[in-house]
Order: sequence, then structure tokens, then C-alpha cells
Amino acid sequence: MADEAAQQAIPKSAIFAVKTTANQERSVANLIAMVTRKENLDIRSVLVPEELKGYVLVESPMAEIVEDCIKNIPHAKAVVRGASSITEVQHFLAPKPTVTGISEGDIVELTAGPFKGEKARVKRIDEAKEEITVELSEAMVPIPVTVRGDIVRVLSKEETGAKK
Amino acid sequence: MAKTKADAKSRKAGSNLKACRQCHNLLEGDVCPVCQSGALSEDWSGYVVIIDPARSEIAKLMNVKRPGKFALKVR
Repeated sequence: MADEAAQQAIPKSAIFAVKTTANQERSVANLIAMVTRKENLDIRSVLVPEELKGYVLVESPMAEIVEDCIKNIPHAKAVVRGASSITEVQHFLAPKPTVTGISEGDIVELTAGPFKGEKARVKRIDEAKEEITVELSEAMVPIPVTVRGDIVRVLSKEETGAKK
Repeated sequence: MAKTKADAKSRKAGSNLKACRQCHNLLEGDVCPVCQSGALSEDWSGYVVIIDPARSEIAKLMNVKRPGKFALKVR
């Protein structure tokens, strides 16, 4: 009973996006946490998803609290108008494996590493390690190369049922 | 000199932190102070600072019960 009353007394969280300088998201998040502790503000968490460049997401019941907090924080530019619910940012908490969307036989382009720019065909996918094994298209001898799933870009998907 | 500069850069970006593979806690040492695990990884992404775990809904969703810095994804 007392717990229920205590739960009701806590204002509901909302998510506010704060625009930041690119690549300064983590330092802004650290500073927001520091100011929150120092000034005892009602900010509950700060989220910096890898996919969201130039923004940090702040969990707080009111936008005014966030605005007040970022006033003197370098690289924090402004609070984006409007609030999001927790369900809208929930997908950031469980990021998808990087190999999602890649299947065996696809033609991919390597985007980093010593084979950057090379085209290759996917031979094997290791979902647990988020690695793929590819064979470079332009190599004389097909040598399997294992690379991370996030350094490839899919160029064309394998046509199913069109085996020669 | 170059090494010092690189060190400063990595410190600034927070990339010197390691993530515990079990609890996703971000730390600087060699043993996770939370779960006492030595399974740490430098390859992590996504960053969360939990300030008030009792009232944070993100902390509840992540099943985090203590304040601190956490990674969203640990490889």
C-alpha cells in the first residue's frame, strides 16, 4: 500500500533529446550526470545510442529540468522541443546484431580494414561473434577472410531459387 | 609525445573504459567491481549513465540496480 503511494508520487519519466556537437555525446552525458548530482536535479539517466550521432537522450519528468541542466554545459546546444516515451527509445537498449540483414551468397563491399573498397561474396555468418567470412571477388585464389559484420555494406542480395 | 596525445584523445572519448561482458558495467581496472568478473572487453558501443536507478525506467528495462556507466552492447 505504502509502496503504491510512493510509486504514484514519482512523476513519470519522459525522454528529451539534447542536440550536441558531433562526437562529444559521451562527454556531454558525463557532464549532465555530474551537474545532476551536484545540483540535485531530477534527471534519472542519460542514454547515448551509437546510432544517434549528435544527440543524447535524457530521462527526466520535465523539459525545464533538462534545459536548466545543460545551460552551462559545453557542446550541449539545445533541448529538442517535445518529449518521447520510453517505448520509443526502447529499441536502442537492445541493439540488433550487426550481421542482421546479411545472408550467405550476398555480394558485399568492405568499408574498412586492409581490404577496404574490395567486393566479396559472403560464405559464412557467425551471429554470435557478429563476424562474417567472405571470399574476395577480385582475388586470383578464393581465400576466405573473416571480418567484423559492421565493416561491410551489402551491394546485392543473393537471388533465391536462381541457382545455375 | 605522440603517445601522450593519443592517450589524452582516447581518455576524452571514454574509449579507455572497458566493459564487463556480464553486467555491461564500464570500468577502468581489470576486474569488474560489481560482479567480480575478469571477462572485460574494450569493444563496446552505446553509452548509458544511470543516475537514479530507483526512479529510472531505462534502468528498470536494463535491469540495473546501481548508478554508474554502462555499455549497451559488448562484443
